[in-house]
Amino acid sequence: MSAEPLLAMLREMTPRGPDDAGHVEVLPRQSHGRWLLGACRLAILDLSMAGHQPMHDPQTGNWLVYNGEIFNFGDLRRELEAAGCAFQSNCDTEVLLHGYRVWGEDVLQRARGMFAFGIWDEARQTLLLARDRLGIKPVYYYQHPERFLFASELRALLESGFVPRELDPTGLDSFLKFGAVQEPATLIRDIRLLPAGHLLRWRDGRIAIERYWSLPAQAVAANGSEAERQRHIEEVRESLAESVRIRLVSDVPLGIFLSGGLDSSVVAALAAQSGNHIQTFTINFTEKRFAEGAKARRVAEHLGSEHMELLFSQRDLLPVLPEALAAMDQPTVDGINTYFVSRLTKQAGVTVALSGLGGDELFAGYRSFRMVPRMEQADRWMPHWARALAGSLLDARMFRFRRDRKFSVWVRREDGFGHPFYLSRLVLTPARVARLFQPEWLLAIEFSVYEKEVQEVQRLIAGHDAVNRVSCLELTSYLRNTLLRDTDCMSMANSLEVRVPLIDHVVTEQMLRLPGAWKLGRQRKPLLVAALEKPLPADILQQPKRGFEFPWDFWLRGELRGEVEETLAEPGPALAPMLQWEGVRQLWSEFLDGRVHWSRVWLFYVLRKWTDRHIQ
Amino acid sequence: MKQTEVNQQLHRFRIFLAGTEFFREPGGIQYVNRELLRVLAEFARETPADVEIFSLNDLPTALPAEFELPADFRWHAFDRARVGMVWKLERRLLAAQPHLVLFTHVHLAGLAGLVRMAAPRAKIAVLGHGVEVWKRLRGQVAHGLRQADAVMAPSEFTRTKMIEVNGVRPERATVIAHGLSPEWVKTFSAGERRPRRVGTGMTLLSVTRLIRADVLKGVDVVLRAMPEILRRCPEALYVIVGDGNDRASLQQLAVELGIAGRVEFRGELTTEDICRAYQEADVFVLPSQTEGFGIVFLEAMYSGLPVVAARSGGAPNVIEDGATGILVAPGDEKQLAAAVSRLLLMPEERRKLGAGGRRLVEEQYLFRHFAGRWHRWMARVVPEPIYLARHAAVFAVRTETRNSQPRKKEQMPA
Repeated sequence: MSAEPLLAMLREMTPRGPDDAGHVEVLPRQSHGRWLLGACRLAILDLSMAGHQPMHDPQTGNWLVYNGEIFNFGDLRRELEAAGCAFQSNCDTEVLLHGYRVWGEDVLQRARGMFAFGIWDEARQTLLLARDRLGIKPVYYYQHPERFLFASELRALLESGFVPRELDPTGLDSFLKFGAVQEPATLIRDIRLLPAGHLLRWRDGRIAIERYWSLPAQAVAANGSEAERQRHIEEVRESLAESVRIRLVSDVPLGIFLSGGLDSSVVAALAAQSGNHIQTFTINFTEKRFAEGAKARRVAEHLGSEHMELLFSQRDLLPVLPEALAAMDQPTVDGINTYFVSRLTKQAGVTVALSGLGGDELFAGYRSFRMVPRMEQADRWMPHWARALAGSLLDARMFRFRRDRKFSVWVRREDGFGHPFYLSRLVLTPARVARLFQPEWLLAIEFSVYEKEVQEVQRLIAGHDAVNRVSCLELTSYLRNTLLRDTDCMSMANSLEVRVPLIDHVVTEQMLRLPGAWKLGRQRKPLLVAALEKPLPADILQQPKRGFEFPWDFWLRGELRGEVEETLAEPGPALAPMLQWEGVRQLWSEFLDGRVHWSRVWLFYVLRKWTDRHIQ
Repeated sequence: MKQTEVNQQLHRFRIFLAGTEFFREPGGIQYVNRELLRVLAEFARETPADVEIFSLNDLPTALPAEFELPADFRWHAFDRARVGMVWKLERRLLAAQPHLVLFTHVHLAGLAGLVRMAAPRAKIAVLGHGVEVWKRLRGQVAHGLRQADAVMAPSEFTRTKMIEVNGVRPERATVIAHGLSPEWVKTFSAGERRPRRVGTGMTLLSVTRLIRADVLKGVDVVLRAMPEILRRCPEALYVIVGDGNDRASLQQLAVELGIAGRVEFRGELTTEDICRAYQEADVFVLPSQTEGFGIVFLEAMYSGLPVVAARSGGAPNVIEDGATGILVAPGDEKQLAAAVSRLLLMPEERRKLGAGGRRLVEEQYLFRHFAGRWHRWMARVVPEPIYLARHAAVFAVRTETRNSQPRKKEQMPA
């Protein structure tokens, strides 16, 4: 075997690391095989060749390939130096490598940040793969009796030529339900995503997967006194400030996404608070009807940041759409906006950006924080017969209530997830997805692959109050499988590193230990607001929840209609044996009649484009 | 008594048939008992025979109008009065000195000692059915079963259990598999001529009593499998025909599982309606762990339905896994869900197994096969003079009436 497959994988990942690439051959002691380790590098800390990967530890013979940032590397380095380690570079990579030598797998407990890495442990003749606690950086693997492959991207594994390009019905099922493939499933058979907070050990052809971190299982009982609340807010403030401060470390230009929303404003404010000179970015449409840059400008003025407004028009955007679709590692219903934001930011000369992602999940910003506890309560108090009655009433023709409405699914408990939360994140209802599959593939779906995680989370959340339960569910489902994965893939496609200071395990653990009642109030996200030393302007604090969204519905009926219609006319060779495509055509006509949300047809457009590109 | 009368009596085969119940309640054992009556009626047409029937539970009033029993059959029924039955049986034994006493339920085998004393020359046969002879029996009943000259079981499984658990000598134990009743076949065929209502292709059917004592019938297992089945087949509908004191709790279970809308409890139905239910269903499912044989499996197979059953009891002796149905591990709702989903989603496979089932019943499990099996067994018990007389009579009868219907050669189970 030559190194060619590895080189092909590295070529595929060039946008993730355009600055440097390297590979090495490692021969295990007692077997005939060998390891080829490769890495491409987006240099952010210590731009010299000292940060070259794969990185070797001459003392032990260990090799490391690593993606991500360990933000407390400075502290770890001081500890290691005290223990007698000598460093050649200013890189967090080297800290991780020495840390592994000194602490073994416990280095994972000490590292704070986002990472996915592989270490060849020469002494134990073991390959260790690990992924950060909350799932910010991905690592995919392929297990086969003759070889083991891993990479930060699914596409890279496909490029190796060793993985059969066959769709996995389980991954497809989860994609159609949630608009993103749910880990550990992927769209390709036999490729799995290592679940967040897990490590994998490969030894003599066998793998073992183990969880090394999980969300705190129980909230700390608080007596609810104002003094105690203040004390806890003080703690949150400190850890939030620290979390942002350590993420400002960079040897390349760093900016902050500022949408004008609460989360990004708080991140920007905390960054300004740390005394650094900060640069903020806003994306704005030139079309007046979508323009929303004024809020961000006001925040930037308030913080005194160097503010840049990246203007673009819808007309500039549509021609770039194919490029954005091509950047998808796995299809996703979201993510296109992240691609454009990242693209414009990178063009503005920035390599690292901070984002306010995660504020809604930790500080109870979503509507689900009010809805889901009510549904849970109804589940508890509504007698079975009332449910049955309501179900049959909904069935009655006179109500003309469609069975695949989420409400109907909830009343009937037809979802099969065991918790009403998952309904709030469904794109297509399970019954609709089941009808879309060809029978033989429907039978091949192994729901348990991704539902095992769902069940584990439900065991975990039993000890939490209603609000924290939703937090845990959001963190482990939508954030992990959609938001973080899209952010990683879309920003890295533009060679931009996005850091998410609110998704920090210290902050997360702390937030989940606070009573849920503190997180809801008349004001939105009261704890997040209280964490600021210098308050933001009142109108920023009080604005309603609103995401940064493109007018897809408008486009799909207008400029994109011809293209999407043509694409959805046929399933293409990869999907034809798996899906009953009439159902998709029907969805399209339902969309044109205004009966279904745009995301339900966009889902299939994205899927079709992805399979055309990667399966045949 | 005149000599001619004595001669006549000497040349008649005297059979006592003692059963727990023939008509009162629906159920598999009652069904088989009625079939046996029919077999004996047919037998009596060819061989001069006196038949007396003793029923413990039935009412002494006349037999149901639709059931034709030869006029010379004597019917004794005791409305659950045990002492009355023992008293009557003993008197009749002494008076008639039967050649064969056939107990159609093992609980009556306790009377074997009485038979031995009152009619020492009588051969005793005991019919085992299912779960009641799988466990170790004690006392009189066990003793009676071991004393019996012949023991019949509907399936190899039940036979083996009787040998292994209850010490029946292997050479005395025979398998006589059941058959579909001709009435049922007639009703079904009449229904078949009606235009078939178009089903959804997604209907599951169970036909069973819902008695709390029969918790191992497996209806609850199907209910528990339904959520998983509905994930792949959202249109699936589970129809349960039958009634009993467990119905309410099963309905409650359906509601708790959130599938009440996809389950229909039809209650007890007439034969016509049951036949229609078979015709409208797509898959028959009954993962019962207590079937000695399972007449409903025959009905389902004759209806052309693939059968999903538990690999337990007599079911595997009736259902050929992969040829007429699918067998799953008992109590395993995951496997059951997989098998059922597979059949619901694969019409081709459904048709293949359904056709296989129909063929199997037509080749082995119709009433004529059942009657043939009994006739062959009884031919061995009939005393020689009667046997010879029978052949003379049979020859006469056959040449007159029966040459239109040649008998197929059939397989006799071991």
